[in-house]
Amino acid sequence: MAISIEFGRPEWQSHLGGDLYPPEHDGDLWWRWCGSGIFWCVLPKETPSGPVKIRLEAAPLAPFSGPIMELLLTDQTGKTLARRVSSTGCVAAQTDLVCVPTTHCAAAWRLIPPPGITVTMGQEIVARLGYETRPEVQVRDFEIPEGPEDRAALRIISFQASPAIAATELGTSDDRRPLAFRLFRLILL
Amino acid sequence: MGSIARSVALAASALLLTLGFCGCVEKSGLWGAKSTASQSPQEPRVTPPSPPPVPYRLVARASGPTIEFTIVNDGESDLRVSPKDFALIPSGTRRVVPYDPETVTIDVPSSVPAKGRISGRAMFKEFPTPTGHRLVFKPDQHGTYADIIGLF
Repeated sequence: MAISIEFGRPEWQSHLGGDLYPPEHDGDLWWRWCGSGIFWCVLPKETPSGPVKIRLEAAPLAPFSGPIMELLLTDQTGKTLARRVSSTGCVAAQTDLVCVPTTHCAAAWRLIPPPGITVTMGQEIVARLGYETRPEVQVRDFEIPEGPEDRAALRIISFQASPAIAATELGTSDDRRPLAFRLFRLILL
Repeated sequence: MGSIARSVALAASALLLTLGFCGCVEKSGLWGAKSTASQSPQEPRVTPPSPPPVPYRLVARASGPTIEFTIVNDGESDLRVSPKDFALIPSGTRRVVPYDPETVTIDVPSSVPAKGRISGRAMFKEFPTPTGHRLVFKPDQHGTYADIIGLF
């Protein structure tokens, strides 16, 4: 029997923690945003003790449905003077950076890596989940290894998502929270 | 005769130990001048090595049924935090109530930066008035706890 852990539902909040923002919902659809820090899910006691297949339903922050570029302005010492983020080809138009003629500074473009989530148990990486840069819900399956024989021992899955970008940086809204993924459900298959 | 000699030797050893102890602990204490016994190269060590200090601290206070806590990391490296690092010791008991997602909620960041601090919240469903209990934080072999104080 599949167990469905809904990230935004009140009854699952005691199983979740770390770099997660408060639950949000739209009608009966619940979710939580995560940042780029580690967040975790403590599996319920009903979880089978052997290897478990898990399905994660999540949607990355991807307001442009395409790659995101980063423009970094650094001084002689490598210190970042300014940073602007935008969709490919729009940075130059949107940026308001001004390089003072007397200042020795350098500008560098960087393509921000596509969204991803690293899954760990204990210190071991059990999966690296790659995502397309589009805002729709994307389903990824992975498997966690066998748990301890002690049924009372807690099995905790940790996740770390990247990249996290504030919507204010993208100019898409006034939300200042660095967001990486919108998390909907974790299903123990 | 032999037994008397042994008794005297034992008494002398005891006296030397006493002098040595006083010399180590309080050089200008009850015995006044510094003991010569403390200068002996064969002086027995009576002061156990002190354990390394716990590199983090915990402060907790109750706000209704919620425990608001702060962890201060005095160490030089980041400290990983997991919900299972927390437990509660009810006041006046030796019982330890461990983290269990069915009855306990721990809302805390996943790490404390070196020389930094984080705040979090905990709720133990069985203990709706947590003032006076102790919150335990044990992320490694050290561990610490804090008396949960009430808000006035």
